[in-house]
Amino acid sequence: MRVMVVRCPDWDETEPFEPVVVAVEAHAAGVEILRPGLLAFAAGGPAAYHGGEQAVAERVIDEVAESCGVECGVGVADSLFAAYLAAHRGTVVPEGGTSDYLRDLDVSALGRPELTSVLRRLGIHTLGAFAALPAASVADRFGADAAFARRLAAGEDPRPPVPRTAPPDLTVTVDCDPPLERVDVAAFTARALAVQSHRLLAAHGLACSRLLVSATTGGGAEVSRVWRHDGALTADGVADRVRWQLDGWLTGGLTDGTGIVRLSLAPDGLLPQGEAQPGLWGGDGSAEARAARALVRVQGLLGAEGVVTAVPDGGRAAAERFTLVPWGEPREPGARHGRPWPGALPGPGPTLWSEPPAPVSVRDAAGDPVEVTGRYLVSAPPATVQWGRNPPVGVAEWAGPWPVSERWWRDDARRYARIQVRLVDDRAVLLFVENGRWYLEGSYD
Amino acid sequence: MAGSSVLRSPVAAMLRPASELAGPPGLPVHRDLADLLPWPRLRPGTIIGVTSRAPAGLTSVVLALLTEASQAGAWCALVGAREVSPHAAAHVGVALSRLALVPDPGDRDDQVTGALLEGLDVVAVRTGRPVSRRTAARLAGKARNRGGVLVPFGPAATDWPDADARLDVIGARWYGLDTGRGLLRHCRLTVAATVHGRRREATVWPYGRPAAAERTAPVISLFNRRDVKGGDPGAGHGRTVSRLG
Repeated sequence: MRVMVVRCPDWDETEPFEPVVVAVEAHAAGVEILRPGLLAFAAGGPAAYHGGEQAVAERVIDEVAESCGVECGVGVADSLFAAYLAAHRGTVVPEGGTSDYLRDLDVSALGRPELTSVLRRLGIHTLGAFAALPAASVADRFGADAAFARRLAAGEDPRPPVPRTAPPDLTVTVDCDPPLERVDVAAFTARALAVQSHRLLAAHGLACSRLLVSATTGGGAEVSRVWRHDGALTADGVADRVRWQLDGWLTGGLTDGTGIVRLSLAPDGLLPQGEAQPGLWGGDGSAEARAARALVRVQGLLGAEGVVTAVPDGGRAAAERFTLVPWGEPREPGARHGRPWPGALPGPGPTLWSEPPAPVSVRDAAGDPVEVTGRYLVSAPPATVQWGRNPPVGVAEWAGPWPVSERWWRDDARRYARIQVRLVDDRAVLLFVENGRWYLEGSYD
Repeated sequence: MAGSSVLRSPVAAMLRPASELAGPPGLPVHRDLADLLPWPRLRPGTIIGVTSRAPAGLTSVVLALLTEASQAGAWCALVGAREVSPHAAAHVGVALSRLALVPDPGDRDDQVTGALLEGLDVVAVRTGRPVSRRTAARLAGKARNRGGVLVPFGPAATDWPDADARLDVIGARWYGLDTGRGLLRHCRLTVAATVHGRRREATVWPYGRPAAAERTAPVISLFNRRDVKGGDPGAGHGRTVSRLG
């Protein structure tokens, strides 16, 4: 996604940033404040409206200079991190050119002095060289934060902002009576509210990477702002952002002297606390955080695909009912989950599936292969099952055949039938027959 | 500070802080398995080896061990079991959102298991080859230090050094089929537990017990008796016979 970053160099954090945000909002929607002096928005919409990213950049620079008397730099790239670096030089990095742009930059651009000095000692001086290291080795050697930094260096957009809408009950609100009018009182309120929000999220095992600060003025006007952070926000981080925002509103004359009567914080961009990337809330020793560290470490050993979690999906065959996604990705149910699947067997599924299905031979009492007709009738009851080099095993009980007809309207249509069999040695298996051949789909171990 | 904070949603009142999940020490365990273990819960820092002498039942017992713990919010992992079906795990009652699968650790299985024990609550590992005494001691130490439960299962788990308990499936029987009719629904496992040299047996129904009407199906399978008295089918005269020692 194309991201535009606006950076006001040497911004004093005590200075309200609000006027600049208002100026930029004249030309772009969905502005997110990264920290005072720095904001970002998706470049796609404004560029289409104003006729190009360059045009948007010029308008933003002019507007900020005119209405705030401040100079700013604008950068555009495919990732937030690259756009941030580009904003230092006022560069528009062409689409698809982000990794080329990052390749020759110095590793100090990552803003992680400790990591930088380690990398330099290893002879790695550029972001390109760092990005070329295997992701698994970086995570293993240097930990999750370095793995995150490597993704930044490679021009990937970091995973954390998985935008999910905050459930309303995670919003914390404070009614201010008398109304908030002074910045020092506001700072105190901000702190208390941040701690409350932090506790509520932590109690649900969540962390947030984005924060919506909303206020109601004494005059009844409602205002809100989004603050974003790459990674999970700490309680202190939340408090700072609320304070900066209140500062901006109060000194900017927003309230017309009526003050702020209600203030609320809505966490957004929720991450399961354990999966949050660098900077967990307080870095505590909670079970989630411990589990996440252990799993990230194993992903460092085996690669991200080495640790997976099963997410329900729809399907008739046992293997189709779940998809495996790398641990840490969102557990969104598959598109086919929850739809009816005629032909899917109720009851316990096979505990072990055979992948790929192993060919078996199913014979009747006379020793002839069992066939299933086009109308799903068996030629004779199955008496023995044999697979691999094992001797045939007798059938104790069986049930079926259950017909399955998949995608009959398409070229890759499949038509097969399944039977459940309990063998005389007490094993139970699920077999299917397709095009006259029998296969083992799974066994009930 | 002026004013008061308000949480308006009724949902908020129903949510409990995670800290309240901490009850008595240990993790809850499937009720049929609780009969077998000397402790009614999975005790932190222990090793429970699971093996099967019956032709079936190993996977079901391992999954059953994870059910209650995962539902209570414990973090579980299943290592080296690529062929185990998540669908079946869900059916037994494992909370899949709490289950990490490491399907293919390759020859790094010891290293992976050690790393997982640093942070997870229950780690089940399929063991294909015998583990060295040194590795076993290292893993046991990690489990004890971090309060994890290690569950080695499969053929090599028989000789796992320092296991606190060993569960051995000695009989397995599926119910529900008939000639051409029915559906597999219930599985009755006979599981023998050895804890500090003492042995006891219990019946485990990983997929729930059948209703009374269904139980009229034949319950005694001669093949359940196979392992008793030297693998002689028919020995045991239809009663459960414990092997002594």
